[in-house]
Amino acid sequence: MQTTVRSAPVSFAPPRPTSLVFGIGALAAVVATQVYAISRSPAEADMGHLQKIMYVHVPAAWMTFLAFFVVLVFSVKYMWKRDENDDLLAASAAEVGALFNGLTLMLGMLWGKPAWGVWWVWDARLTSTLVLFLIFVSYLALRAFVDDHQQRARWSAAVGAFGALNVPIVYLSVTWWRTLHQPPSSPSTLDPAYTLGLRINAVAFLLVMIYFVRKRYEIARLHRAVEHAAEAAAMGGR
Amino acid sequence: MRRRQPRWEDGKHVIESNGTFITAAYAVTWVVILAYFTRLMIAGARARAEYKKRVGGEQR
Repeated sequence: MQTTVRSAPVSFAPPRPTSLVFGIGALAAVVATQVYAISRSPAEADMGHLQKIMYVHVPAAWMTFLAFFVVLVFSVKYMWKRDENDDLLAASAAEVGALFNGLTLMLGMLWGKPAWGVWWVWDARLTSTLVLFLIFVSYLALRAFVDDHQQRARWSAAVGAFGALNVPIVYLSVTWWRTLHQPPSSPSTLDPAYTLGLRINAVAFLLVMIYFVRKRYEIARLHRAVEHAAEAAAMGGR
Repeated sequence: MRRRQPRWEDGKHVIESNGTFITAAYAVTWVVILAYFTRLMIAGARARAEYKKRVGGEQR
């Protein structure tokens, strides 16, 4: 028989449901910005229309960096304050960051094959991005395998902070080492014909990322509220 | 004197545009985004149902 407890600890009262309208709006924004960028940007001098992969590859990479920055901030905050909500938020951002990291790698290969003639090279940018991905896959595996939530939170915070510290290495790898990958793409290094398209696609991806992290965090808090209730019931039943 | 046409204006580029890779890139993006979106929807509905069953009450 399952135990029903009528009140959860206040700190684990779940947050408001994440607005589905916001999520659908974020997806609609991605559609709109992609249509704009694809239809309005001219063929690039060297790559022709292949350049259009930039509108998904670069925003995906930026969202990876941003999500892992959130992991760093909330992992450090957890280590300092020991608030489980910080651990859950860091874990939510880590999962979404790993998703965008994997997407960045796939899109990079789809761009690399026609542009460089190879799907993959072990250059500094690609290798460091793969290492970043593997660190956060390990982070998620760690969370799945450790049952004790305090131990899981402590270890996750350490791995999350360490993993996020690799982000500057990934970003600067193209300037520190000679790589096949081009220097960092940003509005300042682009022809003005492509800047608006890149900027609005990045904003649309940001909305999607915020929605994903918010929704994932809501689910994590619901799970923890249930766990807390079960723990409280077990303690009360002794 | 007639202006010399830059090579990209006559559709010739150093790398030939390949629609397959562009289509694949956008398809992969949407498959990943929609798959995760759907996963979150399902997981969210399950988590809410579990919370209601085990803890009771409505979400704030």
